[in-house]
Amino acid sequence: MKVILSFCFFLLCFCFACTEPQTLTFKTPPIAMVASGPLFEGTNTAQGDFFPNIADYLKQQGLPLSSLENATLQKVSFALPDSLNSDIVGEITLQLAADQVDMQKVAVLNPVPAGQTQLTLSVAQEQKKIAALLKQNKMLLVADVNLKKDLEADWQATAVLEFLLTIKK
Amino acid sequence: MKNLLLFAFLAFFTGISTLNAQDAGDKLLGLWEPSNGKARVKIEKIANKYYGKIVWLREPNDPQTSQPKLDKNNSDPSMRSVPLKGYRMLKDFVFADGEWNNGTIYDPESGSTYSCVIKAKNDNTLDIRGFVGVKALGRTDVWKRIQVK
Repeated sequence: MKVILSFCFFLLCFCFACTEPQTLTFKTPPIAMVASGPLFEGTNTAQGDFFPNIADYLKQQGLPLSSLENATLQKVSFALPDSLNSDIVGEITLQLAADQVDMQKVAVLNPVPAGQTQLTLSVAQEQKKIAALLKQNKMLLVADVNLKKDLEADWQATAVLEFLLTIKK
Repeated sequence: MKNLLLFAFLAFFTGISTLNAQDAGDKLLGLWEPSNGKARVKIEKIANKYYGKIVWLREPNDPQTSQPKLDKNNSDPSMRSVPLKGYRMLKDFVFADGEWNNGTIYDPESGSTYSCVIKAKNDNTLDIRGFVGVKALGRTDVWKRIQVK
């Protein structure tokens, strides 16, 4: 009887271990963000497009698209061409959107430290529809950039986003 | 040949009507002021949807901190440092059947988001109706266009 119970216990543990979700990190390449100048002091919109192609990424891992159970944004970093681009910015708020998915506010940096070319934004704790966004052909990155003064030229940055994917087996 | 001509004719007029629908939707673009006059909202188009963000506040600073107002009522504590100036309070509106719908409106004073439909009374006046669940259970505010000189 003891042997049977032990066997059942190990069987249960084995089944539980098999169904425990797996996680993967998905990092985007640098995504160009541009607010076309001339720009006025105050809030301006910088945009960038990203084609997630998440099905291909999962395929490379030997997984079907249907295995993607959930996704959360873990990290957002902006690289600026020169520190002038950060000196004139008060705050940055980043949103993600797609044709079939509502816009989601995902990260903020307030205040933007002066004299920097690398910025790390604070990521939202409450996140919705990130997996749905990743499943779209095209994802829009929309950054609200609050400028401290007018800018004749474009405001540019490159964004890199890091997602944690939850995979069901 | 007749079928080909008919197809070209239909394709041409379908294209024109789609363009006209898009143009009609674009009359939402611009600078608007809610009836309370506390803010001005710039509505812009991103992809095929309309979004409105606060670009001016009558009282830009928080009287308690003397610092620019933040989204302090957001349910997500990590997003409470988002400034209200620049905040996208209107999101994801799609133009169809003479109105802008499927969007949401955010009330920074309560931290609540409501479903919303926008109707143009004329070129310079909007009825903005926020509601929960059913359109009948909501409140309408009248927004006026601000002419930019």
